[in-house]
Amino acid sequence: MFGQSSWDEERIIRQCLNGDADAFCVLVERYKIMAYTVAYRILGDADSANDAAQDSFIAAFTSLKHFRFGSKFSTWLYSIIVNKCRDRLRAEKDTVPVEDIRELRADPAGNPEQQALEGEARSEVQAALSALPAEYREVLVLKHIQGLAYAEMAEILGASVAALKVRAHRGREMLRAVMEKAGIVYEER
Amino acid sequence: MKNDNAQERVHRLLDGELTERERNALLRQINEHPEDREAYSVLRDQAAWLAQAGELEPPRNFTGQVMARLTPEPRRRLARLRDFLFRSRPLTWNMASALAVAAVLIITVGVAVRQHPAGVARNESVTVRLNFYAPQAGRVAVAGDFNRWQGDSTLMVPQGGGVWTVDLPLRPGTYSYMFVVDGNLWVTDPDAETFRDDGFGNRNAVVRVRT
Repeated sequence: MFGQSSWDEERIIRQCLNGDADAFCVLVERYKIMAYTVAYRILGDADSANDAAQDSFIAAFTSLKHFRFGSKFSTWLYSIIVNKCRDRLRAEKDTVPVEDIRELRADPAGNPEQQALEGEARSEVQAALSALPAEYREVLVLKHIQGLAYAEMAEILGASVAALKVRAHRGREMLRAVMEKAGIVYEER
Repeated sequence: MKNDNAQERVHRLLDGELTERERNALLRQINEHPEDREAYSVLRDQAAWLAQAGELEPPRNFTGQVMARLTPEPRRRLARLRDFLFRSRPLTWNMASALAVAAVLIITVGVAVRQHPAGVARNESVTVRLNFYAPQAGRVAVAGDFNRWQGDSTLMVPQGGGVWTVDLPLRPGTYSYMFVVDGNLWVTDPDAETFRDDGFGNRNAVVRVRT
C-alpha cells in the first residue's frame, strides 16, 4: 500500500507524536549528512552549517504535527533546512566578493582541527558558490550537488519549475563568470 | 556563446530536456563553431564539477547534540523526580507518631474495603479506541478475539486524512486483533501496545484492558 521507506518513516513520526522522542534519532541519523551538506554549501561555514542543520531537525521535530502524511519526509526537511539557511543569511552578508575568492582558496582554515573538519568542503567549489547570490546558490546546490528534480525543488523552494530552470541557467552562467574571474580551473578528481 | 539560441539549448541539454534529435543537432552546431564548443565544455564540466563535490560529514556528535536539545526539560524533571523518590533520608520517629500513622492506615484501608468489597468490577466494559492510518483504503474493519475474528462485522469509521477509528466496548482482559483492509488485506496494528505470534508466521496486535 505504501513505499517501505515512506511507511517506515511515517511509523517513526507517529511514534514521536505519541511521545516517543527517542524514535526521532533514526531520522536524524538517516538525514544528518544531507542536512549538513546542504547547509554547508549554502552558508559556506562549518559552525553555521552545524547550527542550521541542528536547528532544522529541532524545528522538524516540534512541527511534526503539521507533517502531511503521504508526502516525503526528506522533501519537507529540505524546505526547513533552506529556510533556516535563509534566516541566517538575512542576518549576514550572503555573498563573498569575487576578489576575495583567491584569498579564500589560498588561506586554508586556521588550525589543523578545523582544517580536518572542513577538509574538502573548503574547496574551490565552496569558494565559487559563496560568490553567488543565495537564491542562485541554493538552486545549484539542490540541482547539481543533491541531484534533485525540478519538480521536487519547486516543492522545497516554493517556486515554479519554469522559474527554477531560469534561475539554474543564470546561476550556471554566473558561476562560470566567477570562476573565470577568479582563475579557477576545472579539475577531474 | 555567440549564439544565444545555442546557449539556451546547452542549458536544456544539461537539464536533460533535449530529445535525441535536438541533442544531435546541437552537438553538430557546437562542433562547427569553436567558441560555442568551448563554452559548452565549460558548462558541461561545471555541472560535473559541482556534482562531484560530494557529501560532507557533520561533526561526530551531531545526532547526540540534536537529541539532547529535543527534550531537555522533561529529562531534568524526571531526574528531579527520581532523586526525590530514591534519595536516602535519615528517619527520626517516636512511638506516639508511629501509633498515629498506624491508626490512620487501618481506618483508611477499612473504609476502602467497605466501599469496594469486590474490588473494581470485572464485568464492566470500558471503551477502547483503535486508530489506523490507511489513506488509500476504501473500507477498514477490525477482527479479533472480541468478535470471533470476523473480518467484516466491526467496521472502522473514516476520520479524514486517511485515519480510521473504532470504539470497542471491552471487558478487562487481553485481546488479539488485526485490521482488515478492503476485505482481504490483513494488517498488524503498527501502534499496538504489544504483539503476539498467531502460530502461522504472522503477528497479531494485542490490547490489554486492565481491571
